[in-house]
Amino acid sequence: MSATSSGVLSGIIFGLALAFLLEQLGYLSLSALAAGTLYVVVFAVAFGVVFGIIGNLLGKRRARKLWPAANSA
Amino acid sequence: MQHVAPPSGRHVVGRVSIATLACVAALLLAVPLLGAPIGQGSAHPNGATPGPHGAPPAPFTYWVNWNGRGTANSSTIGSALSVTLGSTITLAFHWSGGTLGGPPGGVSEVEFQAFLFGFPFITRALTNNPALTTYTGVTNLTWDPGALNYIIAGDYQCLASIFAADGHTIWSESFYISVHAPYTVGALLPIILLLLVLFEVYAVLTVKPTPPKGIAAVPAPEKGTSSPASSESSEPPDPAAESPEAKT
Repeated sequence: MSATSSGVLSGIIFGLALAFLLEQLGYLSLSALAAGTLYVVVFAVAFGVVFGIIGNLLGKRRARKLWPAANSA
Repeated sequence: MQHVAPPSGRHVVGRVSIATLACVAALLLAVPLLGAPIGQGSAHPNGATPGPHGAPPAPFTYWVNWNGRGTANSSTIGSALSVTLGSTITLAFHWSGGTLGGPPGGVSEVEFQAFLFGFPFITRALTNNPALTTYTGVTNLTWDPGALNYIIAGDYQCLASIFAADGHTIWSESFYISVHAPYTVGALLPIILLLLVLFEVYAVLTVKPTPPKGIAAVPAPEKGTSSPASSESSEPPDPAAESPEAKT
């Protein structure tokens, strides 16, 4: 699994967990079907994108350190 | 010129009879509305019972108390009723009013539901057999949340309903509760979610890059000789770790 896809997967799980955590702490209400689904999907997609970018950048950076010859070209 | 004959005594008696029959029929039809219990409460969807002699109907009043606190002012998230699930909960369903008789159809069942994503994840109900048809009354729905105190927290939409004997809803009220966990984050679910959030941040910060093309992937170790985590590593193998001497 690439660093980007790992980041996206981590971001989706992070977003879902964060939405439910905020709901548990009283900052979100997931009672209604439409609003609750919207919150969860927005959190999952947004953090999936953000974590995917982070994973991509970190992956490239570490690849340059681990295999400098292959990444110098 | 057309002559209209005056009504004979026979015709007058017939009309009076028809009018009397109509009055009796109307009275008979009105009896279920005036008596108690009322069989079809759906005839009065607003919960009003017609008063005698054309008097304005006195509406029924329903309300529910959560451990003695009214829920009528908790119809929004901002005004959610602050509760804890640490002790036994008593939901008191009250009804009162009506010009004559009890609530339409009688109170056969009371029900409490809490929703998550539009679906009830907590449902508690109490059935009155026979249905309560008193003018005013109260039914206490008592339940023990048990382990829920240690599992859930947060804001939830709830629905309190009163059902008649035929199953139709006499009254229902939607309100919000704000469930507080012990020590704010003391419930199990928030702790698990917090750990999951932290783990995912750790996972993305320690992400492993894929080897570029042309570089051979690390061969998978034999079964039982290494942990599963090391099989996914794409870093170059440590010769010392692979040697038999290193294992001893």
